[in-house]
Amino acid sequence: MLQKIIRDFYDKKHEQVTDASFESCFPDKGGKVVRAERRFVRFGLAASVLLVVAALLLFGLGRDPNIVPSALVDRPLPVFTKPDLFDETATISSEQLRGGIFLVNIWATWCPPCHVEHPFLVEISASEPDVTFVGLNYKDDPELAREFLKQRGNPFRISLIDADGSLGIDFGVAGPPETFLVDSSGTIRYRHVGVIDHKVWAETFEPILAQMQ
Amino acid sequence: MASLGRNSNIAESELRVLHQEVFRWALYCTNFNHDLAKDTVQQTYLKIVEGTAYFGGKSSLKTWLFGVVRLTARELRRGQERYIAGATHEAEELPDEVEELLDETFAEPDWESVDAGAVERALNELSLLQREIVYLVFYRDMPLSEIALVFDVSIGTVRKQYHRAKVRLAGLLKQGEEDGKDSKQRQ
Repeated sequence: MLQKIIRDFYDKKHEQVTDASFESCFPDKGGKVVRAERRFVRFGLAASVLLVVAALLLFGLGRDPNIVPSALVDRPLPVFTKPDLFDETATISSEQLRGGIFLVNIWATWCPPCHVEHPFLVEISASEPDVTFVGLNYKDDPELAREFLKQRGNPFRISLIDADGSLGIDFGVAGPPETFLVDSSGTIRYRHVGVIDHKVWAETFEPILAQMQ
Repeated sequence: MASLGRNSNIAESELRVLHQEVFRWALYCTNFNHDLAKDTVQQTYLKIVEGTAYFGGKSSLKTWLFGVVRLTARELRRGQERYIAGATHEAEELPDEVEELLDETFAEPDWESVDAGAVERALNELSLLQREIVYLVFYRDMPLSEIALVFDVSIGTVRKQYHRAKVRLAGLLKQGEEDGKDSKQRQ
C-alpha cells in the first residue's frame, strides 16, 4: 500500500512537469547549441550589467559632485515676478535681469551651508562690480532674512522673496545654496550646487565669468 | 550522429531509449524544476560525448546514467539552491534505539485516507538519501543492488536506509493521521 501511495504521489508530481525531448538535450542535435546560447545570453547579460555599473562608477568618480547638470543651463532664465525682500510692495521681474552678468544665489536663513558661504559672498561681491549679485531668499521668513543680511552684510544688489519655493522649482533647485550665472542675454550659463568658497570661485566661476565678459 | 568518443561502447539509440527515464530521474533530483532538470540531462550527455564521464560497463547503462545524473544535478544545484527549495532538506538521522522503538510501535495508517500533502510532509522528514531510495524503489522499481551502484555505497547501507525509510514513512503518516483526528476533535 505504501508503494501505491508513493507511486500516486510521484505520478502527480511528474504530471505537473512536462518532459524534454531527447533532441533538445543531446549535443549536436540542438542540446549543445541551446545550452551554449543560454550560457552566452546569461554571460552577456551579466557582463552588460557589470560594464554599465563600471562605466557609471568611472564617470561619477571623475566628476565634481557640486557640478550638477541642469536642464536650464544654456536656456533662458525662468520668467518670474517676485516681491522685493526690502520692499514687499514692490516686485522684481526676470525682465530686470537683462543687460549684464548676474549671479543668482538661492539661500535661506535656515540653511547652515548658506551661513558658511555668506561671508565669502559678501567679500567677493565687493570685488566683482561687473557682476550683479541677486539673492533669492528661498522658503524663508522674510523678516529673518532681512535681519540676517542686516547683521552679516548684504552681498546682493537685488533681493527676491520666494516664500513658496515656486521659483526654486522653476530653477530646478535641489536645496540651497545653489548659484546660477546668467549672461547679458538672460541665458543661464552655469549652475553650482553647494557652498562657494575661494577655491571654487577661482577654479570654476572666474574662468566662466571671463568667457562671459 | 554525435560521436561518443571515449564512450564508444554506448550507442546513441540506447540513450534515446532511456531518455525519458533519465529525464524523470533528473526531474526528481532537481525537485521537479524543469529547466534545471533539462540542464542536468544536457550536461550529462555532454559529459558522455566529451568523455568526462566514462561508462566502464560495471553496471547497467541505466544505473550508470542515473549515477551521473545524480552527481550532475548536485553540481548544478550547488550554485542554484534557490531553484530547489526543500530538496536539500536533510532530516536528522535518528539514533538506532529510537529507530528500533519506531519499528516496534509501528502501526499501519489508514492508507485510504492518506493525502498527497501528508505524503509530501512525511517524505520531507526523511534524509535525502532515504528519499532518493524510496523514489527509486517504489517509483522506478530499481533493485537495491543497482541503487547501491547509483549512489556508490554498499548494498548494506541501501538496505538499512530503505528499511528505516519505510518504517519512518509509515510511522509519520500514522502520526499525521492521529494529529489530524485530534485537531478535528478540538474543533
